[in-house]
Amino acid sequence: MPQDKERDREAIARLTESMIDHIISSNDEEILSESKELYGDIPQAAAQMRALLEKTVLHANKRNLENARIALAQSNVGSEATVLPINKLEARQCYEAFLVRDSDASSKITMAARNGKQQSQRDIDSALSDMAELGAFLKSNKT
Amino acid sequence: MSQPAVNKPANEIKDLLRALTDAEWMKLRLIARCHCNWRGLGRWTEPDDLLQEALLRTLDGSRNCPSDITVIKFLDGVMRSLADGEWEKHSRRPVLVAIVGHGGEPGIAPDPADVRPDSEKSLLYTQARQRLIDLFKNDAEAQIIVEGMMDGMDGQELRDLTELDPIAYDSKRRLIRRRINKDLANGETDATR
Repeated sequence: MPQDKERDREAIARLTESMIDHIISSNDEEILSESKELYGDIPQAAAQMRALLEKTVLHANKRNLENARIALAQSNVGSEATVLPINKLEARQCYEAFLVRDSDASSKITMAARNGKQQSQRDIDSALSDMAELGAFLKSNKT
Repeated sequence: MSQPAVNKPANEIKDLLRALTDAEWMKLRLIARCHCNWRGLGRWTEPDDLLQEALLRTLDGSRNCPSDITVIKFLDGVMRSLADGEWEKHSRRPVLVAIVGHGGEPGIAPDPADVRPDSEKSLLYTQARQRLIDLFKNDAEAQIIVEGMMDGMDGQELRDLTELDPIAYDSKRRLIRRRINKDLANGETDATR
């Protein structure tokens, strides 16, 4: 019978609870006297427990940090920067058309960095990248 | 409508634990000892390890301490749950036996004939129960109290049965607890020996 199998265990659990209730309700003097018999020097035994606590605090902080890292990593899943594929030739044509439409643009774009010189390929790629980020080529990519 | 339970913030728990007195630390140690030696029958966890695990689960937020419960009472509950869980884990572990498979390759597998989870568990607690009662065979009042506690009787019922006044009853309870602890400390850390 299942009740019989658990009967002794439950009996011991009840006795244990009763002993623990008594420990909790006992006054400090009784507890210290009993503990002295079991653990010897009380200040030393309590110091061991405080050292155990500090060690556990460090362990818990480490675990909390790991949990925070995992949570951060999980919250970043699916929210990476969206990379839109662009047609480089089309983008270049679009950029050149823009420069033709606005005669001042060529001198304005990256003027400070070029120090009056012609745009290098790197300057152009950088400008294309900036414009792509601003969505300048979205329409042309969709078509 | 009932109010949602409010838990103590982590920093408050840390402060409360750091402020525990020597006597409170000793209480926690004694409680851990009870759970470990009797609830889990002292086989798999040292009392201080059990207490540390309870502290860790409290500090890392795995277990939340309700604001209306003292930190000692709360840790008692966490240790109880851990000790029970440890016992369940152990009692369900299958016994592995060497086998020779169909292809002639040796290996291991759970022993289908092993009935340890129920029978061993049952036997260990039966032995422990008898052992606890026998500890007080020369003290009839203590033996009645021990058996009554095991049967779930309350203090008033036990006082009526033993005809002890509250002070004498409390003194007897203390004697019972100390004798059980002392007996365990003098022998192996095995409640069923």
